Amino acid sequence: MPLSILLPMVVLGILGIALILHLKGFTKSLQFANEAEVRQHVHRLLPFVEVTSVLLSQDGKAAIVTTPELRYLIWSFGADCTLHGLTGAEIEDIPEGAHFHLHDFAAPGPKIALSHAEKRLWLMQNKENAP
Amino acid sequence: MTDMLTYPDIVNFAVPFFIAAILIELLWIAIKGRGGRYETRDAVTSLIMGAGSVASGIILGFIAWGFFMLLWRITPLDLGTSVLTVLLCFVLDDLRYYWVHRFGHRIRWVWASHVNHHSSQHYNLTTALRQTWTGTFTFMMIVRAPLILLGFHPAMVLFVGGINLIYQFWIHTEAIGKMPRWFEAVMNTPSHHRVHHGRNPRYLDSNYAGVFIIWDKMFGTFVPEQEDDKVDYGLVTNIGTFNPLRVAFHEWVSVFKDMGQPGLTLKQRIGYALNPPGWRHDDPTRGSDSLKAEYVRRNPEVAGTPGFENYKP
Repeated sequence: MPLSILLPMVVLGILGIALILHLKGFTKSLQFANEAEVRQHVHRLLPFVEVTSVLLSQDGKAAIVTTPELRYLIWSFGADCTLHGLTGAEIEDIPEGAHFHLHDFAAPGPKIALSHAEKRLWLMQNKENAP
Repeated sequence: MTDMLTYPDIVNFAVPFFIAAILIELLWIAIKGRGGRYETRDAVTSLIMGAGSVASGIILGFIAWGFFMLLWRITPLDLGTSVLTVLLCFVLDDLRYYWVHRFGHRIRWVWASHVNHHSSQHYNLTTALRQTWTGTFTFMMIVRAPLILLGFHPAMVLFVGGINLIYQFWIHTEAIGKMPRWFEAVMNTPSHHRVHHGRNPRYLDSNYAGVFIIWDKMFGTFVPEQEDDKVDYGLVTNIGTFNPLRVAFHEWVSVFKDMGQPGLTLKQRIGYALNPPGWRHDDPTRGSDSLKAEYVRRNPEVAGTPGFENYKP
């Protein structure tokens, strides 16, 4: 198939599918309803790990999860969630909340929206993540 | 000898069909309220990965083609172009696909290319198009060499390979449950391939088939989908990015980072490239086998069941 046909078809196809998905509401992000739901997801992602505490953000889109060995960040990732260890991570104070720098090419790290009241607790994690 | 032989580039011709099928699947899920999940950014990333894979093939395809034509000039054999020859080529190329796919999960250098395809937490027709940009650099073209040396023309080998890939498009869906039993027994199906995309310990490193599931049954890597173990899609450690550049290259970055650690022996550095994903020089047993073993240790009732046949509590 000539590139002059293939290229526009691919570009328009991708744009069209993206538009339809967005208009049908498939861009909605996951929100953890409560701590129990966070624990369920952590158990699914790390089945051999025991969760000792969960610090869930007010908007329900991120949580810091503590286990006997490590601390993790779990966050809303599209309609799903993903999880990353916090060892060696840096947490930057930004106006809207906190930016987690995970130093991982596959997971550069999210910006988490936090209220002013939440920020202090969350940013305290920074000191405890130093290797 | 058959020198000038051409076949249509069917993967590119299938693009309109791919787009139509994705829209039909979307419509089905929207109307029925079941049969799979879509997410905008995930789907767009998958589609961009597909487009990039085609582009990569166009730009770098000359490397594999040059290698194959070199082999074609060396071999004294020429099986011709009859329908029977094409059918035989298709079956043998599918056997080739099985092994390349198995290498893709068990040799980290090849996994670095294939991991992209498994990096979505969704399983729909866009996932089928979430393909590698870096396949050329795995050197898996070497596995096709026997086919050409046996007398199958390179153009025919690539043509049947294209048919193989197109067959695998439709099996990337949750909208189809199980096919008739006779079909499930021989062919790769949505059910068999859902298992392959599972990150559940039971399903790791199974069902490598392209078209015929018989190879997995023959080589002991077949695991049937279990009603009580719903497939959880994605990687053992999921990525946290929708950026196609990061998706395409993240495992390569990780391989080279691991290989470049200070204080390693040459054997350890090579180990990070050639051993299975998960292997570490300071924890050589780490990987999917240890995950399965740990799962069975904690859930002894599953020992000996599909996916855990070789594991004792």
